[in-house]
Amino acid sequence: MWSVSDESLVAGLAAGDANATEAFVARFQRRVYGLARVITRDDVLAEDVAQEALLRAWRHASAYDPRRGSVVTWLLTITRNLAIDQVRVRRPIAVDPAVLLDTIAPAANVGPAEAAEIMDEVGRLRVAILTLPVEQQRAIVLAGVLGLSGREVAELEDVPLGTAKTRIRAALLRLRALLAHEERAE
Amino acid sequence: MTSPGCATARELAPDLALGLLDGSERAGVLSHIHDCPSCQALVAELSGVADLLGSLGPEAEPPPDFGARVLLATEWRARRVRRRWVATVAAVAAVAVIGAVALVRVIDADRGPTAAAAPELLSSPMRGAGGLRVGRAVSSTGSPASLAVTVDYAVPDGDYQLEIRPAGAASAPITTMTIADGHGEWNGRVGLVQTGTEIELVDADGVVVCRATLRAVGAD
Repeated sequence: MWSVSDESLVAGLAAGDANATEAFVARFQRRVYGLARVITRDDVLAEDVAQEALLRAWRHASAYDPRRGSVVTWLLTITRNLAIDQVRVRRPIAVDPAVLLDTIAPAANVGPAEAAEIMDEVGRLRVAILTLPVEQQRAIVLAGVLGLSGREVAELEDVPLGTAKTRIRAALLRLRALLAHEERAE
Repeated sequence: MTSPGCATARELAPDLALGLLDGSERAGVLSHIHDCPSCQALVAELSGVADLLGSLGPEAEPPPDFGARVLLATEWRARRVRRRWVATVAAVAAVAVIGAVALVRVIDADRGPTAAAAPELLSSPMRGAGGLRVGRAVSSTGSPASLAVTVDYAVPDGDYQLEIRPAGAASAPITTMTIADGHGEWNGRVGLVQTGTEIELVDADGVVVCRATLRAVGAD
């Protein structure tokens, strides 16, 4: 079961295969819960978000399109959006800079099966982010990972709104260019 | 609404990809890229990078029964549950109508804060030594609460004490539960049940042979 590809597991979910569902949850629950926790900074809320994300993936598995991204990216996008929605109605902005550092730091305890993929996609993204100016690193993680609005980033970083927006936009454009460049170089 | 030109759309494309636009700006950019393949391609590429950012989150170990609860919720929704499980839930739901209604409210409210205090349906696997899943406990919240316990795997035949342990408090006996031919079940009313309440099956030597920590059923 564990050698089954992510895409095959999602196909199993779509077909209503209980074994695939169990394997899918076991394979991804740590990443889903980890992302939910770093965004919500609330273990109980993170659990709700993670559960909801996995259930949505299960329910909408037939809508997954591998041409639009990997299973991990798809699932974590669902997770991130749910977590951000929850956070937006619950908390004033207050982000621990240590959370940022943890978020950017290379993931620990990555199994060999995931290593190849991580080096393909996420590993390259980590490297790309680390080439950005520090203020852009912070801006893109705050907005892109933790879900803060431009205004919230501006408040947190104590800069004008225009500056925050410029940093966020510049960072994403730069990441796109860096990742596209690496793809061409392969 | 006037659709913005390429310059504005390209300036706002990162914001759109990151979900930072709303209102008229978002509508304007969406209107523009609908008719502009070049800007549409840029937004698609930026959205791909934005989606990838979620992968930067660290892994974390969820609570031990997290996966089991997710699987339970899928079973619940798929209605592909075993007959005994259906009977168990039905026994609880018949008494805990309020809990079921509350569940619907939670669904409707997208688990919003207004429904958080309402009664819920709680559930958890009964787990024995080594975390082995040997059965299930289902309950409504509130006082009194309805409780159903089934054990159908790996517990030796015999009489056991069924006990309830509120979070952070001492356990109290509920009844004697008999396991025969590897199976036992009990339905009834108990005192206050909340999230985190533990249900235990204790043998004649006072050893807890299996335990469930009740949590909300994860339906959405």
